[in-house]
Amino acid sequence: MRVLVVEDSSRLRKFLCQALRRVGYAIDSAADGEEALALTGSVDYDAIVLDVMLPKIDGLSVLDRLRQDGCQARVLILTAKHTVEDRVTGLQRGADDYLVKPFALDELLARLQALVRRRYDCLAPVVTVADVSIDTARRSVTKNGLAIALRPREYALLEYLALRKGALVSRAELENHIYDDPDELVSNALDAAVSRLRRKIDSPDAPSLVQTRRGMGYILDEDVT
Amino acid sequence: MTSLRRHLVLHLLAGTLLLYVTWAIGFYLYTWHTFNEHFNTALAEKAWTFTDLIEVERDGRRRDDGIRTRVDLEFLGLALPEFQPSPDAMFYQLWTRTGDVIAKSPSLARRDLAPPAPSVTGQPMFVDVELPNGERGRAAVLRFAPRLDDEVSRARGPVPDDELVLMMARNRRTLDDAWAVLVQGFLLFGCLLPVGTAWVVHRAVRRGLNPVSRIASEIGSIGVTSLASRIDAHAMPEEMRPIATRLNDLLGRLETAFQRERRLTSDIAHELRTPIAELRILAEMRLREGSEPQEGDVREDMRDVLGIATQMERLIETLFALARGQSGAVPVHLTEQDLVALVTTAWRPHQAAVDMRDIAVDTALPSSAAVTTDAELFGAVLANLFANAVAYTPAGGRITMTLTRAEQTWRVRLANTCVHLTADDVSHVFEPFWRKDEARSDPARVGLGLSLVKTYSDVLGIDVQCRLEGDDQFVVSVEIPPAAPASTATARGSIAAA
Repeated sequence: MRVLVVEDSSRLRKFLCQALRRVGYAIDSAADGEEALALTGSVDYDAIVLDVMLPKIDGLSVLDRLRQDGCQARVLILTAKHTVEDRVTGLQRGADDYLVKPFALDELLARLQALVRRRYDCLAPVVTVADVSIDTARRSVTKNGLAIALRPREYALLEYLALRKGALVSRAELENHIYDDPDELVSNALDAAVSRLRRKIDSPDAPSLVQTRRGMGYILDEDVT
Repeated sequence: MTSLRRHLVLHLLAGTLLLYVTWAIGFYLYTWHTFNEHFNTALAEKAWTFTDLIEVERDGRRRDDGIRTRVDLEFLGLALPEFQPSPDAMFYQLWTRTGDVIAKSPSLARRDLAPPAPSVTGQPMFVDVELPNGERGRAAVLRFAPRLDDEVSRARGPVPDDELVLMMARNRRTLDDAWAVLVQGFLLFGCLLPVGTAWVVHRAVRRGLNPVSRIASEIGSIGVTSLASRIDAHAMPEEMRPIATRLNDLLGRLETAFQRERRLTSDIAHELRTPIAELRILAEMRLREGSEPQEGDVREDMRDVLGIATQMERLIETLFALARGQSGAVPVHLTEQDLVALVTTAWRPHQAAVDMRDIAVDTALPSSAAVTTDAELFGAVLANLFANAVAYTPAGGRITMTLTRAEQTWRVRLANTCVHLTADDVSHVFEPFWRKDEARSDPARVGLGLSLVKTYSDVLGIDVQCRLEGDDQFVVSVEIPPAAPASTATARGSIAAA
């Protein structure tokens, strides 16, 4: 999943980006409202972590512009403004969730995860494909009840495909949502990641759950067509 | 304290009733006196008229007691029905000076009126008598000198022996009836009037005090969350408008103070939230990692922690300094100082920053300027002013620093290029946590520097003002009294011996 972190405190921005990357998110960051709008204009983010008190353009104004422009990204407001009035205002202006500083990292991750699920209309936290269960809340994968160890990038890839279960996901879309800087990828990085994933989740005698559509992309589905 | 309403009602009622009683008594006495006077006057007039009908003729014959006198009563031949026996008859009786009865009215028949007490000649005397018919009566007693009929007597003139005493009496029924009506009237109105007065007074007081009740109710409804409420002074009676106006002023000041306190509390919390969030996320992130951290990562983390701690420490120390300054608890040591040296020392740490950012600095300082002040506190004032000027002067801008002698003060003038402040902003610069950048992006600046400048200036008793000059100059002026021969400068806070 690709997430934009908009926070003017350089330290907090750095820590947020580190924490989210470590759990597999592809992260972009912005230090002010202008930079945030410039990035959202060219990238389709799954979620945006948005501070309210931003220089140049404040967070709520950024939110207004995002919604006016039809941005589908889920927005989680992360701010020190804690009153009920502030929360209500943020939610009424178009935010999907609101978290007050200081916050628990686990809570931030859980809320972000829930927003991402809603982005793809996936209400249940657990997506099952054949004998593989992807628990998006716990960020864990099991096959026939046994845990499968995935690297963060592998999990991110599987999760993205699982949330789009049965739908064709293009290579470009996958690269944009899995990697921080898709332009810096080596050409077959995605193929290698898919290959590693297949080795871990596929059954030996069964077709791969990750189906390739040559020249178009991949589909995660138990039904092979 | 007694109730204002009860106080007013009681006093108004008592006063009104006292006035009523006084009036009633006065009116009663006046009316009764008038009735009496009219009655007596009428009776006296009748008696005087009667005396005109009496003539004395002396026939010259000597009696044992002197010259024989014949009294000629002309009225005897007149029909005087009022003196005839009847239920409403009048009575008269005539005596000589020596008490001999000369004549009496037919209404008396065989009875006599009681002989009157001696009276003054020509002055009627009125006495209450019991009439022969048993009724209460009023009698007029006249001692008079009758007309003299013979020439000798006329030539001689009246003598005391000629004087006669006339008593004329009538029943005083009309007087008594009038008195009874008067008393009844007073009794009737005397019962109704206090009740009516009490009701009127009560209602009048209640209506009169309605504005007081209303204002009390409005004040009672004003709480901490409704300090924006104001009392409508124009709807108040004239006497209460000053109270309402003062109350509104007080509410305005209270509202401002509460807003300022809320803002300060919120600002403090806001300033602490972000560094605490940074610490928390850093700690949780590291705790989630399963592997041992790399030494380089640890060092970087500790640098971050130190930076956060330093930032919070600076905030808290500044807040404490502000609190101490505002409460007057900061010690003040007034000594003679060279203002030029203080300025130069406070400026020195900022020189590198202005050089790096290509900020031009113009100074106009005398060789020395003696002032009496606290070196540490005034040094903090200058340090914060300079830090503020350097931080907010854009690269390539200019800072101008002058020190001039005014009449009774030394004036430090610090001007810096500033393009983002408006005239309205200037009125806020001394408020705690106020920054033009609402995002508070710079963690090194929390918006307390100029508040500290103002607070310490107040402690030191020096004047600091700020304003915009032209389109791009923010100017701060500090006026400090020169050194006195003996240190007589006064300041808030505890003054320690220099």
